[in-house]
Amino acid sequence: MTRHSEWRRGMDLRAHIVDSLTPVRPLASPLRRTWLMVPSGVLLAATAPLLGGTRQDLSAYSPLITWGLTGLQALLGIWILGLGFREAVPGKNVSRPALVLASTLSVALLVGITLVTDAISPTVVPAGREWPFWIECVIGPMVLGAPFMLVATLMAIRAFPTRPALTGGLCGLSAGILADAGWRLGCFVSSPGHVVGSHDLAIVGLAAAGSLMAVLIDARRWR
Amino acid sequence: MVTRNPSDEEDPNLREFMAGYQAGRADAFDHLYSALVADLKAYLTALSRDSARADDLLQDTFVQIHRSRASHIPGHPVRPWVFAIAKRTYLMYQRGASRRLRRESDAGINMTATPISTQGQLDARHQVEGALRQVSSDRRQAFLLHHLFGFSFKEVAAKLGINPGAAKIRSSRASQDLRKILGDDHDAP
Repeated sequence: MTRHSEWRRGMDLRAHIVDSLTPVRPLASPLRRTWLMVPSGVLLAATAPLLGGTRQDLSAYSPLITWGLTGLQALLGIWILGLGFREAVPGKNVSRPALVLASTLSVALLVGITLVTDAISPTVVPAGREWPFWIECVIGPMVLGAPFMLVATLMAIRAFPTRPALTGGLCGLSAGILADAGWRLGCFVSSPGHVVGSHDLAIVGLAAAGSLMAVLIDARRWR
Repeated sequence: MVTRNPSDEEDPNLREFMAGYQAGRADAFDHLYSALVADLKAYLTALSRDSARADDLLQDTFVQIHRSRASHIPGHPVRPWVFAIAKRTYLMYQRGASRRLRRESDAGINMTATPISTQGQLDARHQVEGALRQVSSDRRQAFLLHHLFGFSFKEVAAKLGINPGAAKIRSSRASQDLRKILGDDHDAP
């Protein structure tokens, strides 16, 4: 290509861009978008106990163990959402130690809450009703968390993430943790086997769904 | 929140140009274009290994940047955002090219004709290109930007949105991979 044709192409490009140059509203910072999502996150965490009621033995626990731990879990969910929004910004990728910290905190908090709940008021799934309980406690939180996961992933993906799968995974994980924060108050089974096998599976499912969705949306944008 | 920020060293004016561009100022676009065009061209050439194709991709990248300018967050690094768009533009082109190739191949068109200088040079070139294709994309980019285009690891890191240590490791692993692949090829009967 000659220097003249390069210059010509550059001028054409400039003309095209200048012709359609209008002010745009830039994307808000990850922190600001996280704050915007806080009310929806709190609503998500409160939906299950508000709609489906709380477990009957709730009075056996102190409020610190019930709503307190739910609040703590919701805070973790919001923090992970912030990580997801930050991860989406090129050049601001979340470091490996931060990801390890987020995963460790999530597992530790979920397992800790499960063990504390089971120690105070141990309840198990009624015999013969394992499947219906399992299905309800997997599908329920996933359905509750799906809209939040969808909105969060769409908001995150706008920033052109370099690792869309991770970005979507963090948004999905956040939705799962927030949905479970309320679901644990409604489900009267505290057996660790049930909680890990269904509630926590729903969290993993939402994280996987978020990851898949982010990859698909990103691929579609660049088709 | 623990994060790495490889682009702290980028020219602070770039963020001002980007803000001006988002505000609709043509002069800000001109400054931004001047500041980025050389590095983007080098990056796209490294990815596509074809200078003429890189020119096309460069145009497409700026069109994509223009369409997506609202998605840049003010005050955040500009280069990683721009290079993320450039990479996706290249991938989009590559996907389109393989679709075209498949269609042409289905239609029975011979795409193998290439200009030949000397057989030896062509063989060597094919061998190196083939070996490079076997190296993972992340490692290949870091390797080519450093060894072919002479960017420092700090610059490579800023372009790829990673830290300089990771850029060095990727490039070094690409060298190891290439040595292994080309060594294996030579050893092959």
